[in-house]
Amino acid sequence: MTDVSEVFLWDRLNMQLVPATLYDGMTQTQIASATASWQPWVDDYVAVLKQQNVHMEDWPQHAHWNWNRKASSVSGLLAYQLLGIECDGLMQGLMLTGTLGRCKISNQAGNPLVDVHFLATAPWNLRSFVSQPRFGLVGKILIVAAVQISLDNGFRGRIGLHSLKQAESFYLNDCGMTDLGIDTGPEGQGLRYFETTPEQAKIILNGARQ
Amino acid sequence: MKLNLKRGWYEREVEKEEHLDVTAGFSDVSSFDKEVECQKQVAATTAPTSVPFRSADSSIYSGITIT
Repeated sequence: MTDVSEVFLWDRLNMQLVPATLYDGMTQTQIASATASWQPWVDDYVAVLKQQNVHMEDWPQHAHWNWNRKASSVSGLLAYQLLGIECDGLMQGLMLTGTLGRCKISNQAGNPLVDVHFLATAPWNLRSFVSQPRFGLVGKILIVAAVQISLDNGFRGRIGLHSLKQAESFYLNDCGMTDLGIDTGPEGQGLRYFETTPEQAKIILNGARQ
Repeated sequence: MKLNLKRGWYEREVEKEEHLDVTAGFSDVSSFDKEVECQKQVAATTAPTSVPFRSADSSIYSGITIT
């Protein structure tokens, strides 16, 4: 079953909020369609980077993610949710969440949380891909959606994620999540781990930090 | 999950211009794959369970089967 909500994205070309659709429960057809529209942008960009001999470490770190495989792997498993935001006829962002995680912040350690396993915006919304990104607020709305899923599950807004290096600033400064440092454990893959408390989740839901 | 953000939320967020390079998560080969594999094994080995529920508009309990 798919839940649909109306949300608004920031149209950076026309400098206005435009209506968009948030899907909670993406079909594999929707994922395939999103991938098909994203991939040429990724391929073209990687081709340019190769031409310029840019080291692979400086490529977009999520360029290799295979969303079709991810959707297929969690198909039929109740613990996982695939969300997407559609606007202008195209998928502007995707997120895969899970409800099997446990908190690491000491004062809430062991409590259940929503894991944001993967989150990505469409390439044309990324400054690293294009000089004039098309839509803003995609990532923030998906994070708010993760918080809402946490609330709906009785997890009090607690979410956790391992961030790619290129996105650390967003989770720390924009979302105001707690930075628990580089996760050196087998789950962490050397990525920095961020988590929210219920209080931080409230701030995310209420809007920009002061 | 339904999301219902107020207009003010968007206006406050638009004032900031920091919503661009957003990516999070693991690489493709990760503990995520192990977790999913574990869930599949659990689903495959767990017998169907009957769960009672109450319909939204009455007090009648029905039985549904979750596999």
